[in-house]
Amino acid sequence: MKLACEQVRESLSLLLYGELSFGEEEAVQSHLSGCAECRAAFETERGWHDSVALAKVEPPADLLVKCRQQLRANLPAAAPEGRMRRWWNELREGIHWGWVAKPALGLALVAVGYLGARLPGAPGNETIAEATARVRYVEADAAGNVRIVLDETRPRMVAGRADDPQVQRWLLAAAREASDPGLRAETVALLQGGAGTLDVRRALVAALESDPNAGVRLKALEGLRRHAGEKDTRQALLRVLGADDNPGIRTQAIDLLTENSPRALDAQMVGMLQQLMRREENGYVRERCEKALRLANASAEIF
Amino acid sequence: MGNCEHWGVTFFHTLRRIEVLNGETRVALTGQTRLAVNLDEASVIRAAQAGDQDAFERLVRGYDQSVLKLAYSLLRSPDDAQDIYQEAFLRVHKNLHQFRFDCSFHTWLYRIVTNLCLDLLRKRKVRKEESTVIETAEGPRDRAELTGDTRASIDPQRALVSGQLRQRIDRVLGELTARERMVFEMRHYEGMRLRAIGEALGTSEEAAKNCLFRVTQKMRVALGDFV
Repeated sequence: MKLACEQVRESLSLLLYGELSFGEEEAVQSHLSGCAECRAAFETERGWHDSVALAKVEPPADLLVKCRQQLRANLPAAAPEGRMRRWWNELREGIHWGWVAKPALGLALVAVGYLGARLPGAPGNETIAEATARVRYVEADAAGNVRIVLDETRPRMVAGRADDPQVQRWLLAAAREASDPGLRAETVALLQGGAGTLDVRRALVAALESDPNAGVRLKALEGLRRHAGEKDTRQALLRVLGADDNPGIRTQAIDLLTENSPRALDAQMVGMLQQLMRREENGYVRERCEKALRLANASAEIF
Repeated sequence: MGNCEHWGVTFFHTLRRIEVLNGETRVALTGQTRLAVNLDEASVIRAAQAGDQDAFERLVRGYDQSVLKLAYSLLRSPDDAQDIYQEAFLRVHKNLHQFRFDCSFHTWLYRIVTNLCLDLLRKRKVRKEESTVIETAEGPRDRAELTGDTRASIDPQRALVSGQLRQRIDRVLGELTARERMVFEMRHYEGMRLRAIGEALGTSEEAAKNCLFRVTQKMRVALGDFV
């Protein structure tokens, strides 16, 4: 299929979106390889695609957490079906009764019981609910023995004060590992009160320096506020000042680093702020940086 | 049941939800046998349909970030995005028992979300009231001011150009019809395929393609000389 330049140019966006059929894409690519003008038009098309992609706006960092809290409060209390019955239904749905013998179910049930017993003992503040299970695969041998492998999900509730060591262990794990940024933000907010302990402070510093979500980093920054004078925290704040791509976080890092002794900044701090003045593009951050240097009687320039 | 020892079963616990109630922190965990095997989505939906609030919450958390991003990107207002989020998931909660698996849950949810967004875009004439002001940690700031924050060396010319480009992009987006805006957001920013966009909007892939085509023509005219 030979295409005219006009047809090709109309297809360039769809080509970039990957929405052309195989044949259409072949025809456009073939035309582009032999037409310099259309190749230039393609580059222009790619240019505006990239520019518009960069103009994407993201919701404010804490909006997701707010939405989830509001939804939880607004949801009508549903009448929950008995967990045991639900588990039974799921197990029943998961098994094809036509080809699994009854002894297989017996084996599966005993296996679930065995696996359940391997869980750590549940103290008073911990609840382990019944498991839901699905059959992953079944195999039988000639002698009529059956092996069933189950995937089992077992909800477990740990309750206690936020500084309870068992609760804190899970909070620290979630701050580090949870894939859901809303959950990480809630976790880090709960850890703020325990920033006096080394483990919690390390977790907050780690979240501040490496969490991909700005909302979580802001919560970690709040948690470290009372410890901004300590050496490890200051070093972390200086690193954040130089590396974080969020202007709000850079601004707050400046505030934390300077609010305890604005007139007595050390040489490292002054040097970092002066460097920041050279490369900072955000007007507001520059303003705060300049103010901090002025208060410390330091120059905003590097000579 | 000595055989079970050969299953190589390991328990993994993942933290699912945290609540604070009367000073007590509640940590909900999910323990799983074998490596990170989750219940498939259909099972979660069926559990939520049967009234399991945990399952409903799991379902919400699988999609709510993208719903919020879409709503915020379209409406450019935290309050409006929050309203859409609430209304969408309350509707899902109310009508989940009617979901019959004749389309994907994603499609069903996006139909609700896109209808709500289209209504709001039309009703409030957001495109005419579009503001360049966004919420930041330091309060409302002009988007153009925050543009191009790549932390490279200062280049006032580049900052000026990128600010002007941003304004021009905002203007073109503001001039699109509600439907064009929706299709463009879903394709350009959410990366959805035209077929899925058509399904979410209750129209054909071809109609979504034509709509996208019109938008790209407008973008090319408005931005072609700028890039």
